[in-house]
Amino acid sequence: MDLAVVVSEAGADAGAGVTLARKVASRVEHLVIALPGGERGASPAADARYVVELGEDAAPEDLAAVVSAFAESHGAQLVLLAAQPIFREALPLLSVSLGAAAVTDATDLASGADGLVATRMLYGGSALAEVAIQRPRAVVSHAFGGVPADSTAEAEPVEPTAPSGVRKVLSRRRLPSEASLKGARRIVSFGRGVRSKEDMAMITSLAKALDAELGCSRPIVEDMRWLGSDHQVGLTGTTVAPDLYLAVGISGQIQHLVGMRDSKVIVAVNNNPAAPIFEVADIGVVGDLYQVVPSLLEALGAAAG
Amino acid sequence: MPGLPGAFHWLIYVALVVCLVVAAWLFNRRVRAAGVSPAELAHGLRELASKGPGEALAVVGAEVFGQRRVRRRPYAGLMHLLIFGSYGMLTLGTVLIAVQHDFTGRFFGVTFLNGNFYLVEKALLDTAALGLLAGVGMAAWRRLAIRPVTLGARPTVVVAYAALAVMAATGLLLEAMRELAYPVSWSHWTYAGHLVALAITPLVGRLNLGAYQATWVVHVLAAFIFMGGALATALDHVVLVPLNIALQSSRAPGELRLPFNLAELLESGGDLEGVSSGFANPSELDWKRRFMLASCVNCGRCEEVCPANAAGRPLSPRKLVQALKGDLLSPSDGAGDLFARGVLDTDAVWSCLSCGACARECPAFIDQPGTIVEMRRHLVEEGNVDEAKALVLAQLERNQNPLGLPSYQRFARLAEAGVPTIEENPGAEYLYWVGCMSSYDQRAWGVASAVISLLRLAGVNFAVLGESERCLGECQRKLGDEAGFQMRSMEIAETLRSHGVTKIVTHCPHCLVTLGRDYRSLDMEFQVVHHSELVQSLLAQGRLPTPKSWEGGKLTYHDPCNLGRLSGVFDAPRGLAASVAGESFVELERSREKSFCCGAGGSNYFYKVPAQESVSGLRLAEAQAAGASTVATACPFCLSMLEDAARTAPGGQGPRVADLAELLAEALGLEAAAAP
Amino acid sequence: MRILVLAKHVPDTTEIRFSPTGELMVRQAPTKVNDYDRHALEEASRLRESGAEVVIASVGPPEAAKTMKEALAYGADRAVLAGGAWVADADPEAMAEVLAAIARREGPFDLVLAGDVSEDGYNALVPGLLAAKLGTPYVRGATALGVGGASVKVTRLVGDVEEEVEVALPAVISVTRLLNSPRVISTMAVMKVPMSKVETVDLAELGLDPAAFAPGALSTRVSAVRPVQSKRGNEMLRGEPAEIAAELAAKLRGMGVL
Repeated sequence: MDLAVVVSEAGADAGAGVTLARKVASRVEHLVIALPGGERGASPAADARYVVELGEDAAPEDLAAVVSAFAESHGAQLVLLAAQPIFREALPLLSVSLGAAAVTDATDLASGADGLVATRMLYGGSALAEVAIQRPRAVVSHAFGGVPADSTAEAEPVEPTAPSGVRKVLSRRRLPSEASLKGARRIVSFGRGVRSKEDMAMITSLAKALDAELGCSRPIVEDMRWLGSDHQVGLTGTTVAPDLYLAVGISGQIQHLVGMRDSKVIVAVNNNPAAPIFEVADIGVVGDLYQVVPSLLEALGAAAG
Repeated sequence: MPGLPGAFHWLIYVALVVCLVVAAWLFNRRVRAAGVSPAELAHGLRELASKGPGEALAVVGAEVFGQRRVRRRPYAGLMHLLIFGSYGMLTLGTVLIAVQHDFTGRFFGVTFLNGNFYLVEKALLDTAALGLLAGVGMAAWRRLAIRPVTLGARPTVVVAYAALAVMAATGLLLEAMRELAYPVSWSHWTYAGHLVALAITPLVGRLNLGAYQATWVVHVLAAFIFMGGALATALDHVVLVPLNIALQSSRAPGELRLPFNLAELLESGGDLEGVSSGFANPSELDWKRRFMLASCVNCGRCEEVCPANAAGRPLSPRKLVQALKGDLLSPSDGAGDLFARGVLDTDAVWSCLSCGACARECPAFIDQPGTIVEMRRHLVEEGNVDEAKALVLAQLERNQNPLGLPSYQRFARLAEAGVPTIEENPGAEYLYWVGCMSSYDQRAWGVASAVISLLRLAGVNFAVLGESERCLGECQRKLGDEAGFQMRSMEIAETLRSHGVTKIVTHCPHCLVTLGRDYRSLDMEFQVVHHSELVQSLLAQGRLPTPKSWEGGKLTYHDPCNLGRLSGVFDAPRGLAASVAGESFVELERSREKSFCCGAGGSNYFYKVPAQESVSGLRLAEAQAAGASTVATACPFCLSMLEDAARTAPGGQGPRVADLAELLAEALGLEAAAAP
Repeated sequence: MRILVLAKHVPDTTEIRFSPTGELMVRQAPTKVNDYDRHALEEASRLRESGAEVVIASVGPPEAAKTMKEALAYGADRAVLAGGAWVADADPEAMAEVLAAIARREGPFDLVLAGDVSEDGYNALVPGLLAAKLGTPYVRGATALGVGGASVKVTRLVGDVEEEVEVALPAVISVTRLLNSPRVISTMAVMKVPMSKVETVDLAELGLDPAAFAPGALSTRVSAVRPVQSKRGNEMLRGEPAEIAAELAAKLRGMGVL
């Protein structure tokens, strides 16, 4: 493939996209979508770098139009979009206007005998599918998040197309970040291994150190009443799926397990090596939580310092 | 009658007729207010009679004349017995006098109130008069001094009780006046009247015919006011309750009404529009259930035994039935179902644990748990349930278990333990129905593991369904998805039949009740036994050795509602407990039929309702009060709930909670089940 | 007001597994209405209560007719299910093409509602592709909807920014699970929906060329599927608390979850 265009929002690292595009294209150009006068973002290892300024109110239709025009004029066979919310709506519009195949959330790209092949998850992550692209062009979004970068390298400006006026933005407000188990990325949860309400402080510090939400098992809410039911994980509480679930002093009744088994990484700390929680854990720590938790706090503190 | 003009005498009969007409009119008004026509009622009773009234009569006899349930409360029971028994005796005595005086004596010259029989009758009637006074006194004390929340002193009730008291008192007074006028040698037989006579002797000079006649008129008026007016008061239960008991007598404990038989409904290919399984408003109920609601006496016994109420959940079965009854008699304004109109809160119906304690206690045979499930059915059909309950129903459909775990993992532990499937062992005598909890929960797996070890040791030929086992739908039915439950039951019955299964053993009482009784009511018959029954009989037959001596301290047994109160299995588990712990076995305060729920029943394991305390915590505290160091149970849900409670027991370590099978396997030194 | 709702027949992902020989076992899995689409169905049903006509459109195998009954039970007038042998290979682009044909045949519609994604493929493409093909505006991620005379106001979350946008009707809106709480559909409610409310159509009836739906002619094709090993590590750490803690912290850092 001759040319791939990687599109990303300013202020984010496009490294993952460029690396992915490199696997299948001989030339990679980077188009940055920036706010007027705003930051430009980095273009690691791209062969060329362009920037287009779009207002905060710009509609996905406008985004699709400008990227489409860019891809047409440059003759790109692949448009690779970063995993950013603004591209989700634009992608299908873009693919239709370019007459291109559309694939979302690719985890890998390869050049097959008959053309481009994208890999993506199926069935809630239980399977990986290889998707063969059967069109000369493809619009693909990748599944990798970027880390903000502060580079302000030079870029060639691209003229935006005239605003479509398809949608009116009536209001926009940043929501205060609310603590909630449901969407939490990290959760520290505890159960009856914690002997008294005062000892909860130790668990709270651990949660704080990990920038995690605080969860607990049913008895803590229903019998001990140390926490409100919005902290309860499990069948009669909240079902969660964070990146990290750290279960401290939770034995692992089925009622709890069904509420957290979809977590990406599960770590369990329990002094009973036969506790059911270890069955679903990626890492199990057999030990007294009253020793393990302070040590862990120390280990994490050392890392932070 | 001495000293009364003849006209008085015949006036009584006129008054009696008037009185009966008034009573009949009041009764008619009463049942019609509840939306029941006397014709329907008569038809229902005829139907009952044609089907063989034996059972109904036996139940009515035991409950009405034997006062079986009423007697369970000492104060109220004694009060009720005094009033009911005394009034009955006095009525009988009066009827006998009338029969002799105006019928056998008048026309045939035959008298039977003679000699010793007459004397004994006199003594009994005096006793009854005193009993009635005592009963009314107790009632007055209860309503005015004890004042249970359910009772007040409404004017109509005061009049009724006053009439009874006046009737008894004037009866004795008349007797005394007669004794003073015509002294007899046997006055000690009419001992109460005699005592009154002694008391009024100083006034004897002023006793004239006029006073006697006036007293007599008051006596008769009081009797007729009560007889004619009782049905206008809370004492209408005298008629309503026996009738309702007769109408409800065939209902088994915990049995739910079948709104339809889905198999027949589908086969007939009839229009399903308008078919519903529950009720949106009490006015939609059929006459029998309207009559049932109308017969609530508001005695409050259901409330006293209700675990949901004890834990401070927003449910009192008494208030619930009273609210429905109230709405039936005078519907509140507003549109929509009874929840939209504010008759009840949905939390009330979701608080019920389907434990059946209230229904077992109810002297009027009201089906509170069944009525609650019918309201749940309505909510489900309307789609008006919260996410937690919706999820359970969805997971049942998708994963064939309420926990939402993959159906294909159901067999994993059993396969590891080397238990054959019915395909691998088609000649198995028993099919072991493992149930969802033990298939998925590691703790509950311990129960299945123990059962497997025991069955293997005893040489029982058994097999499991394996991956094709699925939830029987007990929780689905209790959540109110009746059609879904029936659909499921047909599919499961088909699976079982295709393997030629007839005998089933299960360690889950929820499965036991469902596969046994509920499936039978849908014409699907299987012989199902609980593991405690099978293991106990294996012990009795000597196919299992007697366990070694027990050193685990006091052992108590918690009766699971579905096994005990709702299936009547009390002795087998106690037999097991005794063979494990011998003399160390102690009973709980609330045991056998009086058992107190663990908190998981009625699908409550799967969702939350507002509460002040946990039901399981209350039950565990009872076990601790009994000094038990081990609580045995025989249900995986009870095990889970009580063990949870034990972990949070005040003062640190609570008692050990285990299934009877686990304790026996342990006592016999059996290892966890592993592939042989 | 006429509303078209897209409702997909999907296998339940929690019941999908690989056979011991590594083959994907989708056939045995129970099927259902895509959970995200239920929110669209619920919303449409509420609009129907104030007089809107609601038609459901879907692409699926013959057994999807049963799923359509479930979708209809939310409260819709009828369902159109496009099927045929081609369905097994249909990619999002092909589905959008067929749905666009249904929308034109049954239309015009003021509003098209769908879930943001389907649980099986998770492509999140069909509503947007359909909008592009119909030439209407498309807004995804709706957490609240306000349908006016000629426009629709959509509240949605973009990252941690909540915005309200307005687009002219007709429009395609895809919705999130925050939009509403779909009612429970009881077994009885599904049984009460007559099969006659589900119309099954093939490509020819929609005026489409079957040749364009042959596997080789589609824009994408799934060429291979392989299992993702998701078994838990079950790695046990034992020893001195300080050592385990350090080891654990290092491992978590290595996994990229800190």
